[in-house]
Amino acid sequence: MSYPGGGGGQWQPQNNPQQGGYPQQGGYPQQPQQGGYPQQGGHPQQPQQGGYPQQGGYQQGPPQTGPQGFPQQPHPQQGYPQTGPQGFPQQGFDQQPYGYAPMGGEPPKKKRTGLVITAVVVVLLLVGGAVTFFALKKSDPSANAGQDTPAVAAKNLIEQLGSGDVVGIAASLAPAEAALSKDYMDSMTKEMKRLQILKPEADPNKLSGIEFKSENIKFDEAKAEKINDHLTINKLVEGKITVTSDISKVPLTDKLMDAIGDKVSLTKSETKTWDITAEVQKRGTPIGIATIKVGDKWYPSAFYTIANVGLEEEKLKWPQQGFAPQGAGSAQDAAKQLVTAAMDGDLKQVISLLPPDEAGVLQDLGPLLLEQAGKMGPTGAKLNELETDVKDVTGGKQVTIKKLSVTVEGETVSIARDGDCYSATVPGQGAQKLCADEITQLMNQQGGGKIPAAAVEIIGRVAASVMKTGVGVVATKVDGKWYVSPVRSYYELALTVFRGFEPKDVDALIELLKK
Amino acid sequence: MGAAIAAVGLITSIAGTFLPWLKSGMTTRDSYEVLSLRDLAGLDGVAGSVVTSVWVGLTPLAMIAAVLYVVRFRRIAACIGLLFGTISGTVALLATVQGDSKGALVGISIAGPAVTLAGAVLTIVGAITVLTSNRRSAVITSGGNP
Repeated sequence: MSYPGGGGGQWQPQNNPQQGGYPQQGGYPQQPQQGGYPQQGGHPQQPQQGGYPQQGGYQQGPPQTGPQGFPQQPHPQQGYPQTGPQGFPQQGFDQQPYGYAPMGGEPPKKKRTGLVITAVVVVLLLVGGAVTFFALKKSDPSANAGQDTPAVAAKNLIEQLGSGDVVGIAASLAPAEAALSKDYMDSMTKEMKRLQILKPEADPNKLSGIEFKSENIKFDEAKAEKINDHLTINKLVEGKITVTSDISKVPLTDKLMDAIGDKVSLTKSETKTWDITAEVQKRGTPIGIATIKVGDKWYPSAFYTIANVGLEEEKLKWPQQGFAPQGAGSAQDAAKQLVTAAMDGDLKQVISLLPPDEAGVLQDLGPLLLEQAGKMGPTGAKLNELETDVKDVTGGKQVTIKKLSVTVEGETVSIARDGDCYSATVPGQGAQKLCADEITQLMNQQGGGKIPAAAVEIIGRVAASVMKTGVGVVATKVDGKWYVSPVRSYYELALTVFRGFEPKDVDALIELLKK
Repeated sequence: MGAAIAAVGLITSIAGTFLPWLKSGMTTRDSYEVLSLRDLAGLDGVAGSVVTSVWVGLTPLAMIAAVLYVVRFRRIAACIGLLFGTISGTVALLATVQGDSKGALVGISIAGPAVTLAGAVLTIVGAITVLTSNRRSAVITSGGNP
């Protein structure tokens, strides 16, 4: 849209000759016109002959009132004067605002509406663009994904801890550790709710009942210890962290609160202050916060920090070179290779088969672990056959035993699973079969009535749950290779056990607590 | 009048998206910073991208509506305003309803959702005013003018 012609109507005397035309009153500069019609009020006119089709520009013809508030599309009109919508934008015309022809030669007032509108639109576009760009930048997940230096990564973690920013901590932790925490926090909370330990509205992400506060946290960057290209231990030297806990705000169910009410104070919050400065003076060394490099960013690592504490206590040093990860082509192969390596007493191979993201700390510590473990020979057992079932679980695939045959000291033992029944073939004892629903009966026979009936029922149910699910390991895929995850395997087993419990088992446990 | 109400609503609503939506300990995050944590909430992949695009796209949508109001394409602007108000208002309403997180270390902060919701309501009211007043004037014109 444009408003040519000096912003809508620079009045000029009309001196242009018109051929065969009529006198023109007021208005705007006009082009020569032949055989035209009288012009009132004005718009620039194209040369015109006989008053017929005009190109672009303004038309002459019968009065026309366009709908107010709506733009008009270009459409050629012939022969009649036209009065366009007043005060509304029009598209397609190289136009001036429609005129109110100064009949008596009065010059029209200069209109700046177009200029103002254009300016407002430009400002809106600029502001909108800038806000959108800013919003896009803020919503980019990479904004939380690690830091450029180990020092900043460590400092961020402590600051987040100090301000109780658990969301920030979860986002800034090493990705594999954050994923582990998230995956199993959700699953465990779900089970806790089912067992009526936590209230139905409990949200694991809200972490009710605990507060953190930090003061004057300071790292000594000069003392930061660079172990290798992907591990730096940052040295925390000063500050205070205060943790306030209030068990009454933990979303435990009422029955559990009643049960523990006599044992703990439900009304008073507890505050503990960790004086880092005093701790450092007492230890004689700063506190190490480990940061690791993943991709080209640095993240604080809980696993490496814990390992570093262990090394400091044992006065050991990080090995300069760790073990390289050696993944398998499939989840089943990874499990099979792990079992074989374990039977062969090949600790290096076992560690190499662990996921480099979740268990990278064990691979970095590998040579030291090997040295501490001493010389390990083969167990003497030989894996003859391992058939597995595979199913998807959170974060990977669970590989459970379907058929296993092992030879130990010349004798072959076989175990096969069929549904929730297991059959074992042991030399000299023949084949034995046990199904999940027989566990309780077996326990009653073996226990001879000494074990309380409630306990037999619980144990039987949990054992049955494990048998139905199957025992196995969880394999994860990292950079196209499969590895066995010890943490995920442990969590899956724990979840399987939990799933065997029922709410009434918790009630029985509460009764025991009360006694 | 309707356009002015809608314009105030658009600006208020967008401003609300930059106010705190999530509190974690003593730290607060605006709606865009919350979106940057979508992986933690399990909103990774396509779903996360779609949600982010729609939410970030609210600003350009508001801008388009505002520009159309300025150049007096009011009915189209009002329709876009209705779309804007519906999206931002629904999300803000859900967040406001869920906003009670007393005693929790992590929870929804009410400031952002409440302001966004107020803006969305104004936007919708303004848009409806524009649409109904235009319709009224059109009816009067067609029936009454010679």
